[in-house]
Amino acid sequence: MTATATETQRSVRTVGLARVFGEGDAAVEALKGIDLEIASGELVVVLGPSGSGKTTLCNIIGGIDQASGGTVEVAGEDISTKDPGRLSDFRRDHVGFIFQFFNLIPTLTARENVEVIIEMTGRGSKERVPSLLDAVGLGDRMDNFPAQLSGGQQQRVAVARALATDPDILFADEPTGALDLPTGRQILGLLQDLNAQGRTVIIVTHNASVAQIANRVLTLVDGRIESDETNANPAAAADVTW
Amino acid sequence: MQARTHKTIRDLGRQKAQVIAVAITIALGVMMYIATAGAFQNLSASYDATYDRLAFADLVASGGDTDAIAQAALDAGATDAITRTQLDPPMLIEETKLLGRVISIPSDAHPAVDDVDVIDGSYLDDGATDQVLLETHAADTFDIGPGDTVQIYGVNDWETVTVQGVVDSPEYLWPARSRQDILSDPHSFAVVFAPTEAVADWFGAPANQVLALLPDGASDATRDGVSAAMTDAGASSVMTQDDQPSNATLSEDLQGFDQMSVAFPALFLLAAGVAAWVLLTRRILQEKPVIGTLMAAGARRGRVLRHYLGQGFWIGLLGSVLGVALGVLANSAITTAYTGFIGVPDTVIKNYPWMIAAGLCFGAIVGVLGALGPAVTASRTAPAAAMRTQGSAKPPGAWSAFVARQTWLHASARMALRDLVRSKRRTFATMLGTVLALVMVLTSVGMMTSIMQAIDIQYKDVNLEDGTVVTQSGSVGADALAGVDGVAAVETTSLGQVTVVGDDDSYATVLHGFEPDTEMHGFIGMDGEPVSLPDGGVLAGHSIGDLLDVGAGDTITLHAEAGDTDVTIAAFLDEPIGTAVYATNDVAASALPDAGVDTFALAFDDGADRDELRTTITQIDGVVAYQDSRAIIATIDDYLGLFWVFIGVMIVLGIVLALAVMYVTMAVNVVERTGELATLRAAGAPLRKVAGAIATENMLATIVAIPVGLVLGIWSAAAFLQTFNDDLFTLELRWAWWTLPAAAVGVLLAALISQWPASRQIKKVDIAKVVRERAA
Repeated sequence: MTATATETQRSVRTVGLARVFGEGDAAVEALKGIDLEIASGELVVVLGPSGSGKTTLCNIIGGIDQASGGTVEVAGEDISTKDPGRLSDFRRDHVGFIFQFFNLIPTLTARENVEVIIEMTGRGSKERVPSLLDAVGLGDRMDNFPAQLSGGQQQRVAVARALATDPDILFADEPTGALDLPTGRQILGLLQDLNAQGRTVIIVTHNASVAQIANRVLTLVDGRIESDETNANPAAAADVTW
Repeated sequence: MQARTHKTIRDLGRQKAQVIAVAITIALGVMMYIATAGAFQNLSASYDATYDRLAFADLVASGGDTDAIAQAALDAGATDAITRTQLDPPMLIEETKLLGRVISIPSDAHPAVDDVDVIDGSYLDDGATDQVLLETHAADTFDIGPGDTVQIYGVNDWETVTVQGVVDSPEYLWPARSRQDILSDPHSFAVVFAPTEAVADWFGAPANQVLALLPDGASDATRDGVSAAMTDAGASSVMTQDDQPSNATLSEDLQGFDQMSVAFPALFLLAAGVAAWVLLTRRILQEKPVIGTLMAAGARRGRVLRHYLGQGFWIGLLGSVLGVALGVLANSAITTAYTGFIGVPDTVIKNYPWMIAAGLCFGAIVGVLGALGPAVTASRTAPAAAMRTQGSAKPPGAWSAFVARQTWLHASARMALRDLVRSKRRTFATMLGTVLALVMVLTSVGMMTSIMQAIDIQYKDVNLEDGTVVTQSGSVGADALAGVDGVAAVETTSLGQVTVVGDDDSYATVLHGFEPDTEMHGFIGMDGEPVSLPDGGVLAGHSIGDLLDVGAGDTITLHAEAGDTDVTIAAFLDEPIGTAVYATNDVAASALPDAGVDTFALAFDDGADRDELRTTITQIDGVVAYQDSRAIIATIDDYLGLFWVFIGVMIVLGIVLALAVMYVTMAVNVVERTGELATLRAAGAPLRKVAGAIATENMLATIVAIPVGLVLGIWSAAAFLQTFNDDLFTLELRWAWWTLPAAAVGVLLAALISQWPASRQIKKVDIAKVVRERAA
């Protein structure tokens, strides 16, 4: 029973997921009936060209956007019908986000950027912050401000921030989009490590090279899943190139 | 329509809430300008209309050979000069005894100078000797009109006369007996215009005043020349229209409008300019890539500059059009309410095209000036730099580094502290909104509390008597008054009009005589300490020192009908209302003529029934006038009613100003930090905590600005109050204990309220959209 429950809490399931932006003639169908299941502990790369709906899919699963149709179940909770307040609680309890442009608060140090999430969500422990930053390789830079960090280091802070609430699922939206190749590899390696620790990681990207590190690759085109492939031998992040 | 015009309209539409907030601030500034400057012009025009229609005297000379003085005035350039008799005899109106005023006028025609406007009944019948015209304030106070009778105490007996008509007089639009008596018990003063022949018959007194009219637009030199001629012809004093008690009191009030028409609109327009600056700077930062693209495509700097200046111009024009419309309505309402309250016979309501044009220009200029800095920045943008999506972040400064070390504080508190310096422009605007709101509120409230405290001092520490009684000379002794139930103490006093003459100037005032150890009047020296009446010599209101350029120890001449008396000024007094001269009864008796009456000051037992005392005392044979000091305070309270409305409006407008500026800065704050806020919300931080963090930052800026606002507000209030100080009022800035804390709390509340729309704005942040746009 316990194993089943854990399995349920850490899975994603969508049925007939649809998202329409705008109304009438201006309506745009971003997602057209997505049926999807993601098991706990998977590292999934959602791949697709610009406008394919990959970010929208990620946002809906992550609880920062709501579907126009279908159902979404994440970590055992149906989030399709949750109001904004409950969605906020859901995100606090289950998900972490990493964004392309880091979105760090420039007036806070690396340590404070992580601490402020713990303070504001009331989840997690500030005592863990040094070890989180240490884990992403910033043990010696934790009192630096974002402006004193390189792009890769800032993204590492963003990863530590995403881990501050100990989420079940980590969403990374174009995590390497603003980074050069060596730095991008480091971040991908970090995400692989987190996945190896048992955390579900979902990466959204248009960069097909990034898909090499995944054990599952979903390709979206025009709001539909065009392919859903498993990768038995994911590449090491250090071997990825673009 | 050109594409760039479309862009301007749509740009403004995208930020319509903030644009509206800036426009409202400009509108309020323009409205205040049109309303107060217009009211000032209209009230001045209303007074002038009445003064012109009723031939208000330009100069009034007292004493001397009036015929000779009148002729001298005509010879010196006056267009008209008449003589008349003015006396202050006891009167009995509707069983109330009072010291009234009788002014002689011809019965066969309206007087050529200081005419009256009959508003009820009719003018005197030709040759009538038992008819009078009653000034409208007394008619209202005693609720009497044509056909009713009043009694006037002549030389030997009471004369019963019939009110033929109720009149407005340019001399008594504000019913003041003298400059020292501008606030009095309405039941203690009444002005009656009686036929010249009757006045001569009742009092046996010759004409004692000359009223002169000067040509329209006469220069100061002409006025001074006529005045000098009248003095040379024997006049003991010559009073100009500016110094006339009623006119001086009303001018004091008008002066307030004049000051306000500049100061308060300027506060709003300054705030609006800064808010426009913040708003448009944000827009330009947001549009940097667009600007870069335009300039890369060859757009000239001047065109970019004009485009963004245009946005400021349209915001300014929008606000100023609204402000002009509201100002025109407010101007009419203020003028009508004021002239109605004062009872000015002629109400002139005009809207001045130059003023409207100025209002429109002010608004547009403020918008353009607010846009100037951001527009210049935009026009100097280097295309390549503008199109970089990620700006080069600056390393944190010393303040951020300092705060970072304060690890005992929560990270969110440290964030708020550091964000104070993150956008200095935004923080400055928030602080400025706070400071200007406090300046506006404190200037208004300071004036009010200072006036209230001045009145409190005047009637609790200076005028200690509860009532004054005038009796026929020798008819009622102090013992008889002391025997009245409820009367605690009685002192003999004396009172009369004198002209204080220095080396070069003179000043018409009253001489009060008291017993040497009087308990009916508190004499407060310039150091705030009590002083005693000198055995010889006088105590004088401090304005006399300034007006006549004399000091303590100097000798002055007291000129009265009894003759001239030289006395030494023992000390000057710091009294809030009026400028009088005080002496012992003995000194006063030597300087004043025998008025045929005795005066007494009375103190009452605590809790005495004042209505009963008034009835009992006025029924005593020989009592000819009675005045209750408490009634004066009631009059003042009534008078201050209009001020309270004014203060209330100013406080509301001050809070609106604070709200408008803070709303704009809050809104810009949220827009500038959408990415951060979205990230916090995406991480599951509840709305109240995210909104709370932003609110903390803004409240900190407000709190930091409060001491600055309090200091500047106090300074502004003192400067504003100073403009009212003259011989009528000596106002010192005094605060009730609650004033400053209440003002600070009020502004804090306004700041808190302004967080609400920002909180809604944060709630509306579409996290997915922010993330989507940034990923795109």
